[in-house]
Amino acid sequence: MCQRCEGKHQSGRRVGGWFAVVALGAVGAGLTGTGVFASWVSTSAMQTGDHSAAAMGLTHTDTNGTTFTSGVANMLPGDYLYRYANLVNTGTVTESFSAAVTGTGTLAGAGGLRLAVDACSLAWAGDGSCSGSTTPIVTVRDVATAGTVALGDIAAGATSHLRYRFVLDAGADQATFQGATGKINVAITGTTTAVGNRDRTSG
Amino acid sequence: MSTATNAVCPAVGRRRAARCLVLLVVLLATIAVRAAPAAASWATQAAWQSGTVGMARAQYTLSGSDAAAFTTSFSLVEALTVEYFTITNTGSTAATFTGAVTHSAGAGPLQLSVWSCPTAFTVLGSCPGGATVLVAGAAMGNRPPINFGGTAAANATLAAGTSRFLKVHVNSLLVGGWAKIGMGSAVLPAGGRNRTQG
Repeated sequence: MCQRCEGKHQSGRRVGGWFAVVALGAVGAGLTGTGVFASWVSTSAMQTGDHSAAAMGLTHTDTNGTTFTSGVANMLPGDYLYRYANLVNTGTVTESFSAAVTGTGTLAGAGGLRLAVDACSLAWAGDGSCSGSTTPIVTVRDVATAGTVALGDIAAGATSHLRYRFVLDAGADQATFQGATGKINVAITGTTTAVGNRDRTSG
Repeated sequence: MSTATNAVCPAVGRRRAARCLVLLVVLLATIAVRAAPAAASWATQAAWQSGTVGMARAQYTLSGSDAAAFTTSFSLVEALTVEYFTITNTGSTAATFTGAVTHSAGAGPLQLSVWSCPTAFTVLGSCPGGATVLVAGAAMGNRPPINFGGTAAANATLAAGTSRFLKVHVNSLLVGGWAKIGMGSAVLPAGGRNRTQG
């Protein structure tokens, strides 16, 4: 065999050797990639029950044939009038209610219009009487200085049967107030009695 | 050297700025977390306004050119002349109207008499239903109060919209001048009624 031919023969063997190495590598990689030795898996899915945030709400509805927004003219010192309303907690949790009382107009000045609020444990009767128990919620006071008054706690869905009593001070000064008018503004706020951060595991 | 510094420093500056930004964010987040209440209470609100509540006003008018006062003049000798005027409660509620007398004659010997009639006096000066004497020859210097309510009783009210017809006589002797009957007070009555129905 000539030297040239022997060189070609050796070179062919080298290529064949490298080819075998590459082929073995590819087979190994293939075996690894096929997951032949992968572990088995079991899965399961769960969903919690419904969680809901508390809802807040209130309604204030005229009752007993009176209308909160209707006025009265020609009041004299000591005259009074009632306005009945149902305050309902339409939220989903107990709320603590308060009312910010302010006045508008000259007659709502100091020594003029006054306010008191009572609650009946049952609905007020048509004649204004309470067949349940009457609770004074706000004692009579000047509208001008009433500020914010507490109306008490009301459970979710429960109703407070309110009776507003608007009074013209028996000592109202004629020179100051005669012919004057005024309005009473009541802004009611219901606030959650619980403040959160509670363990609700048991509901 | 100068070129190398310029190439490195911007990168260093950017890294510092990034660190500062991260620190600032962490600081603000910490402040926000601390400032927020741990568990805020929720609230709902609604507002209502009452209707207009008005206080009564005592209002009146007197007949004649001056709705606020009635003036009569008298001569040196005045014994027979009488004059008439009317008071009307133009307010919306009853009130007590009390007249006050002023005059120009000082402490002269003047006497005032006033009669009231629920209807107009006749041309002859009589009251069909009988007149009520409000002031009977009182010395004018004493400024006698006149209850326009139509009776001599104190605090007698004059109903809203009604009138009283008044006859006035000044008895003078050797004194001339004028006398004026104005409104001393117009007082609303006490209330205390339940006005729920209006």
